[in-house]
Amino acid sequence: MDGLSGTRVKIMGEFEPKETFKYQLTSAIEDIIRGLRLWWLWYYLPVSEIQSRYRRTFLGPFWATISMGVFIAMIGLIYSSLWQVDISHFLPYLASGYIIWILISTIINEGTMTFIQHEHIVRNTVVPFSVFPIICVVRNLMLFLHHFTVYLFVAVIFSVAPGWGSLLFFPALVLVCITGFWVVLVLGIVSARFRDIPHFISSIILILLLLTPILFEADSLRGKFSLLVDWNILYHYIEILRAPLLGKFASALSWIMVSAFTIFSALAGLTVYAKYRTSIIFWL
Amino acid sequence: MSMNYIEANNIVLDIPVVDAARSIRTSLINQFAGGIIKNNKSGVSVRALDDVSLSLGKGDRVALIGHNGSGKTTLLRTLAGIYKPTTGAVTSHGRIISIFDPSVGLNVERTGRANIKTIAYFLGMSPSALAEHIDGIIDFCELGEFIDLPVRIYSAGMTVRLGFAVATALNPDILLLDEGIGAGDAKFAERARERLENFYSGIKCMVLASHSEDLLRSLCNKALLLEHGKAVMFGGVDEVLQRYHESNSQQ
Repeated sequence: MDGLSGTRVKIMGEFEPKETFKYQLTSAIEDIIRGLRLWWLWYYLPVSEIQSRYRRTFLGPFWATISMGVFIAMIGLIYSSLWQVDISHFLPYLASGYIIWILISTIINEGTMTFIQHEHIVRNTVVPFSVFPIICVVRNLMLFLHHFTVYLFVAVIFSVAPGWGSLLFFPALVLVCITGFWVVLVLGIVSARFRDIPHFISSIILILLLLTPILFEADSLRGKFSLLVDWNILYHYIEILRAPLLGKFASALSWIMVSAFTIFSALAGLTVYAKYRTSIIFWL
Repeated sequence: MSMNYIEANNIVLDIPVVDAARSIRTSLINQFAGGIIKNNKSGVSVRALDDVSLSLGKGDRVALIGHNGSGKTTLLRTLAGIYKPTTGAVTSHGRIISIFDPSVGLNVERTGRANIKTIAYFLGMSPSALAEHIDGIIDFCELGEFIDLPVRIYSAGMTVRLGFAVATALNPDILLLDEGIGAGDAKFAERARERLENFYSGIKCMVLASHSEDLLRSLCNKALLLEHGKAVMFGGVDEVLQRYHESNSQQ
């Protein structure tokens, strides 16, 4: 296969089997498959973006890692005495939860800009649009790997013992990436049309950091505010990644909620993409 | 049998104007915009292409001629599949390469070598095709050790070479090209001519939009005149250019 061109007969417009939803759906799925196959674009571009963002710096992407490390250490010290919990218990919890939060929240925040930011490329090339959400998820996954060193550092210092539950980290990460793709796709489309959405999302994200059990433990909210835990989908996503990092098993409820939301996001994402894929270009 | 063609049948393209107010001063804008502005229930939209048909077979090199905003680039983008026609259809067969910006994806913070990679991927090369061509591309750029320095310090002419070298390394059956491929400074242009001739000679059919009549005359054997998104005339390059000039002098 040679890049973006193909040798098959390609028809677009009215000669297609009439514009039924089934037809739109098939072309949306084709578009996503073509996007996934362009691995060189969605691997090379994020690398390139990260490298140019930290050009001429000595520490490169580890700058973000270091500032995060300092942030986690400070919050860890203060909050552990504030909640009166053991720091050797609280710091690994905070470190793992916070790097996961940064992964998820940055995917959501940057996702709103995914098409707007690449407008020039969208207008001037025939790259399938599905490539851009993949780029967003892959870039944040790469940054997550850098931030992971903060967790490793903390885990070694406080000798966090991995358990069988730790193996579930990988399927959990896959679920986060799949959901991330669909969420970015939908947010990217909606934000291209309604330019208030990126601002709205970034203010919501800030509030969610304070409402989701990351800087404090879930149990301290149970009772009066248990709604914020049980029905907070972000909490469940964080929990299925965090529990393995602490050598524990996440609750079955978390896995069920996450699986259900992943399926929901895929169905919703596919529907939105099928309906509005060809309109995105007009909104940029 | 080699079958390379691209065909457009009665394509109409309405581009919605998303944030235009309802009270848009239609008449005023009609003076400047290419198409006709419609204001209906589904919002304001510009008719950028109005019932355009075009059929290219082997050996056809079509020049798109018209004023700014007459729909040349829009037609190219529709043929490429970037815009989906509101009604009508585009059918194509063969390896299409669309070059609307020969340096798309250029990142000035990165080296020439890294940018060659990005540009090549965006213009439709795969890693294996790039591996095959990369040495030739770098040789042709004649940038010496600059190839491993950031593009930020390049002169404009040097930057253009990157896109030029990558674009001319492609070998499409069908080429959709906007404003030709610039070659930069004169000394380089001399060497560039030969490479361009080789590049164009391999192409089975081509659609070129440009304001440079010399370029259109030297590369094309047919021409389509567009006015306000409508195809007004199709014929030989010289005839169509003549008609284009006549309509200019009438205004």
